[in-house]
Amino acid sequence: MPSSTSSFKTYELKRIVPKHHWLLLAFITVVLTAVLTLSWELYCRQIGYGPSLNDTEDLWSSRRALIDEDPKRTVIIGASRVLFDFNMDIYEKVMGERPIQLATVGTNPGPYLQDLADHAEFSGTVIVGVVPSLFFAPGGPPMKSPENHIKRYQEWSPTQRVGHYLGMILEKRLAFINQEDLTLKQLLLKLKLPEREKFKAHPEHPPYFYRVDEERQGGMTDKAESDIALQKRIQQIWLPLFKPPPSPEGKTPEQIDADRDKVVNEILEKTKSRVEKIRSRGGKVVFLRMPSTSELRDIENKYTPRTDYWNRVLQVTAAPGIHFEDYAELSGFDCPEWSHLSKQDAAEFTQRLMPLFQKLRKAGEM
Amino acid sequence: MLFNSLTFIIFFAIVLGLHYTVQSWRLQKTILLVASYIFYSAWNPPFVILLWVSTLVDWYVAKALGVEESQGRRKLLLSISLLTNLGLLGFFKYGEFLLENFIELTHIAGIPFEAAAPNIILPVGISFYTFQTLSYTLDVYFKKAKPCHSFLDFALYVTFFPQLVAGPIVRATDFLPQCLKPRRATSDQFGWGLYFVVLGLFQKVVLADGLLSSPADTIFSHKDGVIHFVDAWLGLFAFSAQIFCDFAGYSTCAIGVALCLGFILPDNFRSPYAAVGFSDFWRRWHISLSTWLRDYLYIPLGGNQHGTPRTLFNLMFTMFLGGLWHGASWTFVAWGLLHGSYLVVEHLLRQSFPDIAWVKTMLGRFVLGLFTFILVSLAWVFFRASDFSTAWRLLGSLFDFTGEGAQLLPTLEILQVVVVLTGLLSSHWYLHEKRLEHAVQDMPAWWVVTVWTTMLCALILMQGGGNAFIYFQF
Repeated sequence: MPSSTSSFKTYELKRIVPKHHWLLLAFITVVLTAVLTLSWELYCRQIGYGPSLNDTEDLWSSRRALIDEDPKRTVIIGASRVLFDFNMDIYEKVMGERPIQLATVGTNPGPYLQDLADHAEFSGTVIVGVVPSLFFAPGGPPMKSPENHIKRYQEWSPTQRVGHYLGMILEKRLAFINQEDLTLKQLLLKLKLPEREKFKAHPEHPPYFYRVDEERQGGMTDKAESDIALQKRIQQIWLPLFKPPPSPEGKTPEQIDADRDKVVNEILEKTKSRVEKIRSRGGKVVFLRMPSTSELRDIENKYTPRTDYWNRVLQVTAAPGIHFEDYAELSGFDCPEWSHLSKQDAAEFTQRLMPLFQKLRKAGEM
Repeated sequence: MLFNSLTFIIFFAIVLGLHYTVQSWRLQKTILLVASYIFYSAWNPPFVILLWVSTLVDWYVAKALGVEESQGRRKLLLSISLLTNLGLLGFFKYGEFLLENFIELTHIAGIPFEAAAPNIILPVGISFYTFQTLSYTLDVYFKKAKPCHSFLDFALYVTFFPQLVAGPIVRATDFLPQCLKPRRATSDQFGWGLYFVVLGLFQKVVLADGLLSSPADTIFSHKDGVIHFVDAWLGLFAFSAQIFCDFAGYSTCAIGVALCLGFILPDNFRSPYAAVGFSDFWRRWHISLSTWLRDYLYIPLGGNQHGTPRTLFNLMFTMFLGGLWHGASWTFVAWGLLHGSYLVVEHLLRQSFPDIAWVKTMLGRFVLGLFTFILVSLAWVFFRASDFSTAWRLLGSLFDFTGEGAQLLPTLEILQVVVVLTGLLSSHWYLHEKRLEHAVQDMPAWWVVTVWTTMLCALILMQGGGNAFIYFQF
């Protein structure tokens, strides 16, 4: 706030145009930018990238909107395993209905289940993919991500809808439009600069290794399915991500156990009430445990043993569940990077899952 | 609709196409008005009604003020405008805040009063267009301007889409005369306008969102204990740079878009981080708001014409309301009052030490400029922090030079902040007494093309996720 009351004009309403041939400069700039962009596009294709959709909150919102149109649809929620490993074509062929894929990578499906429970008209079937370390995550990114997705849908403005459809036109044609791996931010991260001694880095997230289509049918990229070095890199990234965070200082092991039990019980109670709410409107809920293998499975068994987690989910909610280890036909699949199936195996896994779903349907539980 | 969205590119291309193919000036203005309503309703269609209410009320009030001579009736007319505009602003922006504080007061008084959360959605840009329409009515009331004779021109003034949601806050006396004759940009104006748009988007998408938001968010969202002072200062400076690039980026886009359509909007920023002192800062930061506050609040309160104590009160009160204008929270009030205190101290120092030679030397100005920047950055703590406990915690970390505390920023982000901040402060110092236009004019053409191409390529490479501008929430 200028402290003088003298009449000074802080701006003059005259816009000077610097003396250049601006249209000519604009033309040269556009040509140069087009050449550079095209070169970048060709380079990205050369190193193995192809056009693919970004798995954005907008894409998720476009699927979420379908529930409002038909609240009896089957909906899939959960994390990346049920996103990659569940083949919707096969489900539709056998069960006669196209499900809506709402699972998102690295998320606790709790907020999605709550969203469906709060939906006044939803009475369809919910298939809940359970990754125990995420399902029982009390906060942080696994909770923030679904909350942000739901918020986006709730506030999805007309301009964001139009922007999403325009964006998809470009994403389907240009390989360099890839928010997972090829933005300026991601490219800078690849510099891997040395960190200060006391800096605590966040666990690394896997590089680009999956893609989704317009209906959010997910799946590993061809490169991730065949590139052993990439698979090994992702395996090493999973290990710290699936271990619990360091214990808070100043707490005894008993206190830590008590805190964890409290969180687990709270999440179980919330899940129970969400399932009951959906069932009260005629909806169904089925829990599904997709395969994981090798050291990752060992870590899961160690930190989230099924007796304490998976079994209790089914027990508390009284909802049906399918655990891949309980059925011979669902076991024995190989996950290239220990956490997800290849596209071919995903189709096979879904195919083998279908008789179990049909049984549930016959029993009126689906 | 955001400038940094694909939707806007298509929208703007259509508007430009229509604007330059239609011959009738009246039709051109009608197209711009309809486009502006579409632009605004793309967020939340029902809120266009608020724009219409504001437009109609101020149109009829000003018209009546133009013929009414009775002072009593003139005051009544003005109060209708003030009540409508400030009433809408108060309800939508300050409703929840007032209710929360009322509940707090009742609790202090021992009355167990509770109320359901009203869940009011803030219409985007309401603070900006409210101040804009108010300035028109106030100008007519004070007989500084005559009522507009064309409803179309007035509606376009209130709604003109480039600056509708985040300024610059344009005065009717600056905009309405431009509606009298057909506006068509020359080819050079058009090209320069496009340059402005790209520069604004570069500031917003690449610098503010891409390189600065993450370190600022990391520092301001840290809840557990002390932050290492280096990280705390870098996070704070990252926010100082982010808020400038975000807001100035919007204003620059707005100016560029308007220029492509043949309209001229005033500058809203003039190298504020090269300001020497706080009066100078407010002559350079959000100029359209600071001049609005000066002309419609500070001067009517008496300005500096009634002795030192009154001047100091006027400064504090103006900045108090300036803080509250930014958001319905006591942290914004604290930010405003802190700036008010800066201005008060500066005013007193200028009175006590009117002629200090070293202040006018290059080195003296540099040191004072740096000092101003640091104090302005410290005030941003209250502006950005979600609550006072976060603000105090961060202030504690900033001045804890023991070397303890969490190191939160990765090396890459430290480099990003240092590089962008150095570039930003250098450019502000370079443009301290110079306009951007003159600086660009002095550049060889190949250099202009190189800079322009670099900005465009960085924008394409950044693949911005369409984040809203920070000032939309105000």
